[in-house]
Amino acid sequence: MRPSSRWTPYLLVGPAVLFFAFVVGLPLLGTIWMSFTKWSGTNRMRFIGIDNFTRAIHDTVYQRAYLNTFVYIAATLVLEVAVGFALAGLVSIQGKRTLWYRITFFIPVMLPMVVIAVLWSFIYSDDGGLINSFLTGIGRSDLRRVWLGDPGTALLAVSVVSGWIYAGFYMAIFYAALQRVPKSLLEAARLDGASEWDLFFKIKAPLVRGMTEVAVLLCITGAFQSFDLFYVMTKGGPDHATEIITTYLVSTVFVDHEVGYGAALSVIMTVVVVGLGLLYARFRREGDVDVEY
Amino acid sequence: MRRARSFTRWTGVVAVAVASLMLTACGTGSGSGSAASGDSTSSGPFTIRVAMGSTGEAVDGVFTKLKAAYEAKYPGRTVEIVIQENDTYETIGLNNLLTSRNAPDVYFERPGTRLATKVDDGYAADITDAVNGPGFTGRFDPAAYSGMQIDGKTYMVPWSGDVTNVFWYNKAIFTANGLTPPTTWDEFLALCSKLKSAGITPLVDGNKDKWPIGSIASHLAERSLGNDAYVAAIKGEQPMNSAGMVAAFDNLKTLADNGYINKSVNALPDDQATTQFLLGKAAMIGIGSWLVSDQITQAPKLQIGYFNMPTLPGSGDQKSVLGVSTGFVVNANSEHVSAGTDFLALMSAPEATKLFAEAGLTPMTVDPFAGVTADPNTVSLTTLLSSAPTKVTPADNIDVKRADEFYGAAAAVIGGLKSPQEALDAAQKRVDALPKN
Repeated sequence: MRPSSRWTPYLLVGPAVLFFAFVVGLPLLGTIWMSFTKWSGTNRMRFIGIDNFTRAIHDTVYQRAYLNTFVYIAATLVLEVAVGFALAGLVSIQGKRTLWYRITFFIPVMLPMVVIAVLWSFIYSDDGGLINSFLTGIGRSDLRRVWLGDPGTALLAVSVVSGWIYAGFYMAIFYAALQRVPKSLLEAARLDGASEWDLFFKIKAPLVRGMTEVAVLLCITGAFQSFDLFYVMTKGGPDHATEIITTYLVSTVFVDHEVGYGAALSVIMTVVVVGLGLLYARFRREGDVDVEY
Repeated sequence: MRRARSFTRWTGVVAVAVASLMLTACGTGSGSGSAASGDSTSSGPFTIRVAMGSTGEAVDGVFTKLKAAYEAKYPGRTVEIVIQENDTYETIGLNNLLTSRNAPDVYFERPGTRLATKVDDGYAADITDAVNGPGFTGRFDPAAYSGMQIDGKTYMVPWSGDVTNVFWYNKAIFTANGLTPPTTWDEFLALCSKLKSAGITPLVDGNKDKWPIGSIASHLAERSLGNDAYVAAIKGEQPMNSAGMVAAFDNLKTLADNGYINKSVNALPDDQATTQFLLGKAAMIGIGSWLVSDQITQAPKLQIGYFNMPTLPGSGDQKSVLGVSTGFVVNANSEHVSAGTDFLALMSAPEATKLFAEAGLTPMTVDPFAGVTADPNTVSLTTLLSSAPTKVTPADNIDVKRADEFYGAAAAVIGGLKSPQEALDAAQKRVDALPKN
């Protein structure tokens, strides 16, 4: 069916394009423009060329923030995606009533992040915290740490909390995918003597590989967006041990009032995220045998 | 099918990328470089907006009373009080307000670099004539305007003052252990040693936000280097990693190495450290005069005292006091500058001073506690600050960015992560990398 007027298609997409331009396009262009300026947010903008980008490249804290972000990604790939996958495998075992387990694992996803961060700060507390009290209780006081105040443990401690929250989220994703695996295939395998272990690793896991790739991508991009957990639990400390890109960016813009420099950091981060996405797509294996969703 | 899924995936990637860009884009606005001021006070009914960060319900409530008093005194004028959460106000809130279409006519600010920035950006009116006029006569000691005058012009009316760091102690613990407040740093260390031997944590602090130990470091630096050299180091006019500064930071290292301060110092927020002190879990805490209000509400029966930073070997003023003041500025872009100064005059009047003092504030007027039964510690601290031969400004009130590096170095030392030399060298390296202007 052909539109009655040549303008009809444009009129139909116009509102969406205008909305997109207003909420995404203009801020995007504005940020790129600001990244070439020196601006505090209240003074007159001054064009300074690529100075902000040159400074960012030599900014040791910014470099540290990337390193921490990549360590955090590595940790959460295990603590969120791998653990979520394992949980999904456990709760999808045939014949087991797992509804309550699924609900329990998913509950942290529904809790406000700030509340979780505050609660875990108490759990990690040096004085009367659950973990240190437990270690004392079992006679291992030598293992007590200031978990969030020790550069050697702080990033891992925050990553564990992240895993505690999102493992349930990935479990839900994988659980849904595993439910789509043809039952006939599984029954045939069982008749051939396959164990639950075999079913999971040799049939289910390969068939949900597409979903695994989505989960990995979500985990990586989610790590770049992380902020609240770090901000509430450590504020990037101690000694920048948990400084990630977003905490540094927010500190630069809203505490130091260096909006131009913050915009440059933001542009660089965007380029890195898009670059990683392109790399991910390039290395993604061809010929997937996905379950149809 | 694969193409469709790939498109969906890329839409997600692009959305995340765009979201990150938007993070900084949300603060856009056009700054005003001009300080064009006007006054349409006589042009009929109008409203003035007064903006500030919250300093607690009691103090916020005083502004409601002042609004009523002002509107009664000046018929045809109304006041809109804009109170934001304090951190929000000081980071993003005030800047957004000033660049908005409905900018405040009067706003809370801190003297020093923050005020200087507002003057440079054209958001602070020259109110020299007004503060020398009848509305303010005799209400402030000239010294109260320290940091509020630039090039001989006054841009701020003083409001409140705080001693930013003293050592508060639990009187019961001191009495039980036969201790008295120390006067020298060596006595202080001996006292800490005795407390530690008795199984008591000598000093607790919560340095998660870096300013509590940063404040102590500021004071130590002044005592070691002298105020001019300390300020010059924070302003970037002298190196931050000088021998004198290292010597100042060695004192922090002593506290850390001997276990005189809580191990969790860098992981603990300041309010939780305060709670620990008020619960009697430590004998002392290094923090400002606002501890009094916490003690009154959280532990009214607890007997506490304080002592100023003990004397140290060094070329600084060994009787100096670390303190900050605050004040209110009239927006240079306001159409009602004189109406704004009228409001500030009302805020500085004896009646308002009494209300603020009753609300737990330390007003900077000449008679802060006249007719008020204030807490003895608060009165004593106010005297300490007003009579200080040298008032030391915390580093973050001098230069925010360099102070961040300075405070970071102090945190690294008190956390036992770096030696004073290493920490200050790292801070200096970061400071050197900052753009000059």
